[in-house]
Amino acid sequence: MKKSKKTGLILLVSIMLFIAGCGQGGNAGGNASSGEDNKESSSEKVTLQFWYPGHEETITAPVKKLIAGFEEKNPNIKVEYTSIPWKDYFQKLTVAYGGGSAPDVHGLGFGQLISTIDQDKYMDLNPFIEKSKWDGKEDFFPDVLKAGEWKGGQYGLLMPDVRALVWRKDFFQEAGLDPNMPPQTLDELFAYAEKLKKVENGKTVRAGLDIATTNGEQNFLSLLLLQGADYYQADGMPTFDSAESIAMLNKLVTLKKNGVIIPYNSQRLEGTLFQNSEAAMGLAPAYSLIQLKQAVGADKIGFALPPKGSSGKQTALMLGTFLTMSKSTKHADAAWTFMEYWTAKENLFQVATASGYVPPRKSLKEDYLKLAPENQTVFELLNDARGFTISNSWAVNSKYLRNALEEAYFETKPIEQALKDNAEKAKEELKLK
Amino acid sequence: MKKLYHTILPYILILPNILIYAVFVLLPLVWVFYLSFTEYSVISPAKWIGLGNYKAMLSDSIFQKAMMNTMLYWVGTIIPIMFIGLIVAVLLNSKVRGMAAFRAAVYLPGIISSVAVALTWLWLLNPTQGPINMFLELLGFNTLDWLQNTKTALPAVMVVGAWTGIGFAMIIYLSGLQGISDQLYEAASIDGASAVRQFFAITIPMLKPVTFFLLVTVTIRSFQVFDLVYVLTGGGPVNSTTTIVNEVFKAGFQEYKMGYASSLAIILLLITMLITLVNYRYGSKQDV
Amino acid sequence: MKLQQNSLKRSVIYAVLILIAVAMIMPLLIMIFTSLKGDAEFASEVKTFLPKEWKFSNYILALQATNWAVYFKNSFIVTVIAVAGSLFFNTLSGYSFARLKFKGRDMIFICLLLGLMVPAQVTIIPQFMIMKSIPFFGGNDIWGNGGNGWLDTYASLIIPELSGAFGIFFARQFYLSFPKELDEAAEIDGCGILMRYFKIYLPMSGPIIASLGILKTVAVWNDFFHPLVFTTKEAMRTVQLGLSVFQGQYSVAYNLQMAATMVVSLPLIIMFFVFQKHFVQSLLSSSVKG
Repeated sequence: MKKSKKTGLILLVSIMLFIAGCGQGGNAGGNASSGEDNKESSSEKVTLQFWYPGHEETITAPVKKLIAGFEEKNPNIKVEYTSIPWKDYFQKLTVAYGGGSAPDVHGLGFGQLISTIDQDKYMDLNPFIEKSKWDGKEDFFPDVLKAGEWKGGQYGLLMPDVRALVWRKDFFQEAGLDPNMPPQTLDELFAYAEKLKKVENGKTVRAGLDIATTNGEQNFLSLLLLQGADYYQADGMPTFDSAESIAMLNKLVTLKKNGVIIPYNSQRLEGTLFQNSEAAMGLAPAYSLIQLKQAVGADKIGFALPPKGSSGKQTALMLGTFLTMSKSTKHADAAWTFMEYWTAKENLFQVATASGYVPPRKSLKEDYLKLAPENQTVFELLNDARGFTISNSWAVNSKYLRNALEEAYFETKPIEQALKDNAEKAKEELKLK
Repeated sequence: MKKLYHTILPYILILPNILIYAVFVLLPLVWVFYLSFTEYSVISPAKWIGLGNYKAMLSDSIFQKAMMNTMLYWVGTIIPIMFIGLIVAVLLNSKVRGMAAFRAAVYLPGIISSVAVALTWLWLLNPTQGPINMFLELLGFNTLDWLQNTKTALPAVMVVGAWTGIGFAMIIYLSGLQGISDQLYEAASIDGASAVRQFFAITIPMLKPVTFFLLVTVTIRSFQVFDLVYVLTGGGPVNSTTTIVNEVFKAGFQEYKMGYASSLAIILLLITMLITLVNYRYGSKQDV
Repeated sequence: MKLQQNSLKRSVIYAVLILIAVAMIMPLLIMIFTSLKGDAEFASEVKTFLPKEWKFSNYILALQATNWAVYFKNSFIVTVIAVAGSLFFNTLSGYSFARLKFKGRDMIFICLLLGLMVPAQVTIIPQFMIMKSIPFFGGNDIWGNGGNGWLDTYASLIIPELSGAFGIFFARQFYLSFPKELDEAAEIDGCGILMRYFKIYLPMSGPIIASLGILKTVAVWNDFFHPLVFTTKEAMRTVQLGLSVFQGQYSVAYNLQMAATMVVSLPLIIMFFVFQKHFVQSLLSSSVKG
């Protein structure tokens, strides 16, 4: 029974640790509460909770710098900044909203905003914009402001990420193409893609064009926009069974059969094919290239307006992060002061350029071009750019489009039937029949 | 007085555990049950819609696919996990040299977080550069794009699931084996029973409570599979790997239909409970 | 002859074990090798098993990249207390369910199991609300209003882990396999219910505590979802949140990701080696033999 002593000792230590821990846990809570009491007692000092997605140094550093400047200028407003990785962000924010602990100001994904905007949880910014005569009203790109508009209200200010055509100059050279001449039309894009694929032992080791086959609705929309089409309307009606859509998917499926497209999941952890040097061309946001530029050299990567569609359209897909205020905030004025500071010319420029986004103010063009000549292209993108159509049917339509795309790419259904069947299901779920 | 003490004492012993459990697990469970009868976007209050969610389930073909996949995943992982887990545990128990190293090799996959596991396997299964395909090529077999093929994606996910679960079963079986008195084996040896016979006559019956425990917990774990699917395939291609919990996640956090997600969770609960009760009957035959 | 047969048997056992062990360990070796590769190896189209150049500096980079000291401290505090507390409560309850007779025992037990069968994705929201409205904590009044309750404290990560259907179930199953003669003998000696637990069951629980301890430690240490939702402050983050942050920051740098993963898993690996020798000491047989 010698062992019993030892076990007993371990147990005793465990219990002591446990009791000590409970005390500590309680203390931590107690401290937090007394801290909050202090803040409330000195009534002028306000603390804003601010959550923003993205945990890359390229985002957190400029945001921290911005907050420091803001607090210096507004000594009675403190901003508590929480950065959360994108992939975890929507869960964290959703639960906080559900539990009544929404942060005062926060970032919001494009899909998140439009699928929840009708629930009246976000603050309409127009009264603040009018009261403070916010100069961004005139200076922001109209398309950028429009992205956060709904029923006459302004529910978010978009920090846009615009999808341009990106390509690998070294792969172009390898395929005998002019590395400084990207494809100008959709037909050229597909023709180049055929030439750029790399096949070894009958298997494609490098795709000509980066197209995600699972969760592929964003790539597909990028291409649809060039043909002047979309996958659903503002009233929620799916349009991904349109003639343009069927023709586009036909083309893509052919490309996949020819080994030009490597099937993959756009939400996979390893990033896109293009980011992994596994595709020669893609439609990607500028910020996603930062790491690749470091790995292979900035001179090997080309960046241009998307190719023209058959009607000459060049509309770029613009998603990004909305800056939004919670309707439940107790410090609306302070929150707006912060948002105004964030979107002020010089601050916006600082944050946007450091994180690889485009500063969405027209008056910043000169400064932006000074940074790099190719920024001309990026800035031009904003002249004709749009995101998802605002409608709470976004989630349902996206779900069924994804489904249809997969069924077509993996040939479990004929292309037209896949699109039509899923459009029917979307209509059924949205009660549009 | 003493009798009262003896009646109450068991309750006192389980009280701390039960209390915490009731507040943080069972109460939320009741809540989820209620939510399954509502339309609930999470950010707005829930709206009672009666059986609406359960009716919607009947016409949801993706849910049916997910249910099918979950069942297949269960069968496809529980068998290798329990079988290999038992074999390894018994072999390790026969006092082999270097046992610690073997045990660690088998258990360590279960320690690594599922995201890291998935990242590793994504590379192993990579269609062009992955070691698995390279090996197959070397042997002259046809290679496959494992995770991007509607026929092989689910089996591939199962292999990864089993790989992470075997260590768990092994540990449980190993500790179960410690509970079997050596005297039983000694007596059997004297009677001239072979090792195989001892295995079936002593080891298996004596491990019954442990086997029951594993049947229930591995079943529950299999039914709850999410991380692996989410990271390895995202449920694709064409929903060939989606599971109930993956659908719960999608409905709740991507489509803001937490009411529907709750109803899926309740169905999952009912099925798991049914299987557990069947097991429980088997497990408690020799109990107390 | 017998000896020969024995050695043949041994070889077969070893062969089977080595085969399984290699299959199990291979992906882990790949992880380690990946963590030591240079950046350029990932951009290049030819990928190899072993690193072309062994870059141990990846680990230094991974360690410097984020606030690991805080994350490790938090994870240690949460894990140690949660595991120690739950081991005590779970074995005590497991003993009660296995050996004591009381009304509603099986019913309560089944109810306990129910909690294991619901995915965290749906229970997280009610759990969050309960955490937020714990009375008297975090600025809350007696009705649980006004403050943040246990959110953003260690309590939110520790308290729910103290109980555990899994642990109770585990302990119960093991105590069921203990010979009943033990109890009978003890009862004759005048040992009460509690005494029997402390004098007989607990001393023989070495293997149980070791395996349950390992399983629980892994579960608490690797939990990502609950810390994500229940904590917001940087100062309260755990290693898994740190790892997720890291993955966001170096999304395509597999080498650094794997290095960070190895760093985060290292305490678990050490813990495994420390604990594992306990679950082979056959306490039961030695005590029965006297």
